[in-house]
Amino acid sequence: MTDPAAPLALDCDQIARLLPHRWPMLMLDAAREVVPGVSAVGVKNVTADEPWCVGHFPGKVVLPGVLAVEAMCQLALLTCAVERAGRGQGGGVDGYLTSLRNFRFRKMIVPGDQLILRVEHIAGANGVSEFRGEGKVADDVVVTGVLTAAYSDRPSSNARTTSVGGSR
Amino acid sequence: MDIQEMRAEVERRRATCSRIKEMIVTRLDLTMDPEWITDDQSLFGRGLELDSLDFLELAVGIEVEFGVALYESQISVFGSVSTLANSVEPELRRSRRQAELELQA
Repeated sequence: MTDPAAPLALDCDQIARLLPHRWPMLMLDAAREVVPGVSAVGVKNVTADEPWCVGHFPGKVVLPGVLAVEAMCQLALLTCAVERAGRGQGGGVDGYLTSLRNFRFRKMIVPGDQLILRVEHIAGANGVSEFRGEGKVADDVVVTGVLTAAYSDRPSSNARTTSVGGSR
Repeated sequence: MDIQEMRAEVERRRATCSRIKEMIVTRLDLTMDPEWITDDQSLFGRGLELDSLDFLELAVGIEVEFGVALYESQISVFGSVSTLANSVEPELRRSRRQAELELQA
């Protein structure tokens, strides 16, 4: 029998069942070491065929910093969604950023990079939580900061497509 | 309670209120001296004119600063520095007692 307290690993289809985001805004390819409501590690593989590459910037493609923040926020919401799923509220969450603090972007993130994100819960419960986040590419810390997000259970009647690719 | 204990209690209350004011100004990035906020001034609406997002920030800030979760509390708890102090003081008293017990042990 699996230990309910053991950290979880989630693939992109499992993530899509817990988060409302879809292509091109689903920023997580996988998650691992998910400790419900507490911490998680997320993987974002940055590729040259993502839509933002067209304009950010022609001739010098760089992942927009706000998308690294978005990926971090999605990972934070995922830990909250997994916690709620563990309590029988398994329909996933809808969440929104409410504040960002002390964000630092230390290195540019470019296609070919694998962004490994880590979030840790600082405070909050009941639909509002603050997380400390860090993103690394290989051994380099590329982004750090503190984010707060408000979230609620996704209504079960909300029939979104569960396919990661969406209706692209 | 003798006069010494009362003085100590008043001083603790003043210190708690100062910590709350400091937290409000830092957390909400207000361009004002924390001591300009009075203990009974309304924080929302007229008064400091905070809004619902600030309320979320304060709820998280109180937990980080004092270890007290107020997420299920009535909104009136966030009415002023005094009402916030009333909510966090039981926890502060509890942790002081805990520290005293550990010292004795």
